[in-house]
Amino acid sequence: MSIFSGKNLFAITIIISFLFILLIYLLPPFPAIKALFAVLALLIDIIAFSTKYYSYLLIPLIKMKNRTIVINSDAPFTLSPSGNTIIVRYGGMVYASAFIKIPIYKSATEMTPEERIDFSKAFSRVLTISKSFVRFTTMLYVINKDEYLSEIRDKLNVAEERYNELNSQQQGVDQKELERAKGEVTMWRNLYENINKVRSNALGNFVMVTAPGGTEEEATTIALQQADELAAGISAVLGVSAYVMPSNEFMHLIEPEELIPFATITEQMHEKIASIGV
Amino acid sequence: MFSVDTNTIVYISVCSLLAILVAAASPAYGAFAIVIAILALLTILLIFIINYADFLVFSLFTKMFKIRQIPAKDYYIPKSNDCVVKYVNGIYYATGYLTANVYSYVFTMEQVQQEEEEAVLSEAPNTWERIVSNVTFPFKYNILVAAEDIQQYRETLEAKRGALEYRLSKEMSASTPSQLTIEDLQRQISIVQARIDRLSSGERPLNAVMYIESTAVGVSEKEALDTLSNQLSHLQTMFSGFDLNIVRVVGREALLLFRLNYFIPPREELELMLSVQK
Repeated sequence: MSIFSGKNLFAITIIISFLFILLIYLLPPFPAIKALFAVLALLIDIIAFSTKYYSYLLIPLIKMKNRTIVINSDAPFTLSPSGNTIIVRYGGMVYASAFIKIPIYKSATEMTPEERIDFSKAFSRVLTISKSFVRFTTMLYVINKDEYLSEIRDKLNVAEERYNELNSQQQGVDQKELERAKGEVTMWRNLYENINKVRSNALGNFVMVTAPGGTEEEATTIALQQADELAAGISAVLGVSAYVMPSNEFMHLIEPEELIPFATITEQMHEKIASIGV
Repeated sequence: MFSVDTNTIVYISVCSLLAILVAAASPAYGAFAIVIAILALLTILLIFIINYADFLVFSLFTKMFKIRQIPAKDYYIPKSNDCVVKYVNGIYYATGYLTANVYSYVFTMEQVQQEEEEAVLSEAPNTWERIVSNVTFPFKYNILVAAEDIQQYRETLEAKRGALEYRLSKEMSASTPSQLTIEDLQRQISIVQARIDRLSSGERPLNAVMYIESTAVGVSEKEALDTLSNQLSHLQTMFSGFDLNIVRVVGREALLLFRLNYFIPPREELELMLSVQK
């Protein structure tokens, strides 16, 4: 444990404050100096109490440059070599977190009141499966259409190229073929524009399990074991096939730029520009 | 309600004692005596404010001195201290948090109303779907949860009931029994009994923290922060249908919730970190 941990910092600052008070009582009568010591003792006393919540901030605050406190300059996590957990180093320990997906495709509107009560009770039971802390998350996220859009754009380009080629031929052009190519271009363009217009959201349920360990491998093994057990428990209670997610599926849970894909940002900007009538 | 643990009592008493020691030496400060006495009183006041509302004091401090914090690479907490911003590829992603804790009166109900509970359970999935269908931006509803040992919890409740019953019988056999105290004790016994009945009906005790998270994007920091504020206000309105106390998270707890995206710290640390903004 670091010497600058919460309780150590509290003890150090309290001793410094107490030393100033001792000086006030022991020094010969110099009122101005004693008053200065009193102010310093009170100031350090406040700092001492602040260490209860802000011990992590005290040293970065002393090192502050350009009004910026650097608490941590490393990436918030690293991906484990196996690719299905993320690794965080915190307070001298290594923590591995695994993510479980709970695929629920039922809607409350399709359920009878009894089914809804049963579902609520089953969900409450799921929350009580783990004795160590786990995080259940229900997330509304934006579906990443970048890839799909680029596919349609490619098809649109191919269709346009074909149409232009046919159109540029001087003789022997099959009019039916030309019309078909034109229709294809219109179809892909309409699809591209319509998909861009509508934002597609998805709702997902996830669980995050964290396990500490001395090394990355140890933490990862424990986290995956706990995640497997929890996934089995959730599957049994809810009657679904919960599974431990690979990294390509859980990144949108932890990275904001994956949560709102680039295509959506462009779309939002277009909406804003349209709404202000530019 | 503000809960006071042993740790808090130690911190408050030691720091207040030092401030009193400074004030007690007032005659030594000559002309500065009154100023120092007032400063000592203000120190004690500030200690209590930091203990119960540190998020207000710290946010004021960062706003006043325009300080921003860097919790991880590519992320920063702006001077307003109420969100975490990620800046990548020229886009700002601002993430803010809302507490979503069940009102404490729910836990102090004197009777378990089976019909009422069933009505709530039946309505909950519908209410949830209504909320989701009315939200058009990404958000996460998080439940950080761990089940408690049912036997241990039951024993604690029974011991508490025994102690209350003993106090009640003592009060009733007193020469001048106070009707107010008797009624209060009877009410407390009913609350504890209701909790024991809940356990008997199959419910399991939980330690849970609930919070809502939303992310907004913008080409400038201001745009992202303004959009985030709108999104959070919208979520506050939408979730008012549930029995939840929804407040925007400010200060160090926003930093903790940001970290919770990547790992769950040990139980003791979680309890300390989430002790104030209930």
